[in-house]
Amino acid sequence: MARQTTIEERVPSAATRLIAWLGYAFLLMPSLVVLPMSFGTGTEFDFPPKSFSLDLYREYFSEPSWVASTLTSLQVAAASAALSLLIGGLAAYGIVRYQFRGKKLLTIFLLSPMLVPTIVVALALYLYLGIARATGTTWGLILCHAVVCVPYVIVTMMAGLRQVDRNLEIAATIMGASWFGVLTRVTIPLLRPTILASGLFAFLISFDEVVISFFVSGVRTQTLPVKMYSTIHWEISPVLAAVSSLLTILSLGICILVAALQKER
Amino acid sequence: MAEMVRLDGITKAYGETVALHPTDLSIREGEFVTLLGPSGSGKTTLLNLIAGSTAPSAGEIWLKGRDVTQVPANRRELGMVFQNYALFPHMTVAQNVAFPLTLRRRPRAEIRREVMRALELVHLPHVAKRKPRELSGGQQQRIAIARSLVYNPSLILMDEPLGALDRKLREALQFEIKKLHEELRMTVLYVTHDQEEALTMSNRICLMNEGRMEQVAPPQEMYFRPATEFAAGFLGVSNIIRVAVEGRGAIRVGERFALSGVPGLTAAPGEVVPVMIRPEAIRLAAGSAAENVLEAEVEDVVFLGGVTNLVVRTGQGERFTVRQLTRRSDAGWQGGMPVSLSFDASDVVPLNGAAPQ
Repeated sequence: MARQTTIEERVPSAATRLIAWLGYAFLLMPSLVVLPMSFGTGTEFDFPPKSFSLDLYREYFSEPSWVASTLTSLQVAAASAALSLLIGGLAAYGIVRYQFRGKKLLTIFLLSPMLVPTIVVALALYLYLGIARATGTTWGLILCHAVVCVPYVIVTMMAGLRQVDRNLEIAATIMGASWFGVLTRVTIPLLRPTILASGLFAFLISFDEVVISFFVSGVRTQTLPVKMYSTIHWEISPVLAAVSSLLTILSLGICILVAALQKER
Repeated sequence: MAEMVRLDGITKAYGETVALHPTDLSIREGEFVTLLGPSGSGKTTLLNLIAGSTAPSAGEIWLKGRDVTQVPANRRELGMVFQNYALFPHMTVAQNVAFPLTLRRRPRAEIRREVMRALELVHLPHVAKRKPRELSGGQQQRIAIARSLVYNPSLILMDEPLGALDRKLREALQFEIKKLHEELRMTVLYVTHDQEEALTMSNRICLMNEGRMEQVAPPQEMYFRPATEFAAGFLGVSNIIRVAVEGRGAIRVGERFALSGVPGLTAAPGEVVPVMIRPEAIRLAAGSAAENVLEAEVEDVVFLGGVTNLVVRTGQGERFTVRQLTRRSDAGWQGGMPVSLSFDASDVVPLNGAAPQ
């Protein structure tokens, strides 16, 4: 598609640029401080570090409790991303493609975890899991994360679905494709970038999530952010700098991937 | 020839608003029928009902002798071409054309052969490996046509397929579609709001207005014997006037102008009825000497090159558009000139409403 340059796409002035860069600096500063610290040595946070080494990273990878919580986080994030893709994808499909009574109400209901304060959601989920005797289980944690991921998936998938030309689906139907055939041969292939992007987002949201996880995870299902949080409380270890850096890089990587996917579309 | 489509009292209403009043239509195998009408006339509604995209409120749809009213769109064995091409952007041209065959689980060798044959029919075998977005609008629509005919559907629906193309391309594709229709003996139901397109391509035109079929007739008949004022006004330029009926087939147009032997006039003497006369059927002479003519004055002269359009006004205040071939030797018509009009009884078309079938 040819892009048109509009009046709004003017080159920003020097002052505008300065303000923008100051904004970036303010946002990036904490991460930028953590990164050099992660290459420090010793048993305390040092900034700037006196000497550089990979000791902290080595410590992180050799400590079984760090590795275990990282694996838990990866597992939970992957599973809840998949689950919320399934639920959110179907919900978005229903909302965009069909007309039915109470559609607006259902949409608001499905998006509500985004609007309610996380701590309230966390408390509610804690109580539910208590009733279901699922506190401290991996699948309980996965379900809870899916609750907060689903709204994000729905929003992105709805936008993506609206971009898919209805005529393509009608054309496929008239040529003889069943509802399922249209979905698998036309709609899903066209939505692929959107599906990947919202899946990655859901993964990231789950991987970063700390409040809900803190409430509902048990000793054996401690996720990485929860482990970091409790580490701060008990033994302020400089390994945290290494973990934080790795987390930042992961988030950054996913965001770049999502941006690239969006461009592809 | 066998009947391909039959509509029996097919109706579509959205709550109180009626998009399509009870409609009957029969299309023969191999026929090219055009639904012509302004936007909102119900032509797209009718097409969607046949396609199965919307369900009728009442009536029956028969395809090839089978009642398909309750049959879902994907089991009706139809082909369709859309205005915006509706090619799948994630597939190559060959995959697009192969799509309906793949759905039918045809053997691979056969699919490859049929796809190439269809692409050759639209003169685009060399773009098979490209993606639709790499092609021009005209090429994309050719591919869409190839895709619609590759599986030999019993009926091909075309919804303003040339609406997004510029004039020159439109004419070229009109010709190509017409040729494909003749060569392959396809049955086509074509929707357009472009009267010229309807006149050039169709075996029969089905003129629609406000959710009703105004008239169904071959192009020539539609042009020369429109049944209603709407039909007369929609196709081409027409003069519609009200005349007094004086006897069987006899009318009086003006004080000094009366005609007898008007064909198809069913109104009783004494009634005033609308009739139509095409601008090219009117004879024009300078002055007002002759017998049995309509006296008028030239109001406006529009030189269009090969033809000249004149607007004249009679003593009773009726306006006529007159179309004449331009001749260099013409003295030149000028505003205010007194002229006399005449036309033959056979060129007078009574607009009775119902078409005498």
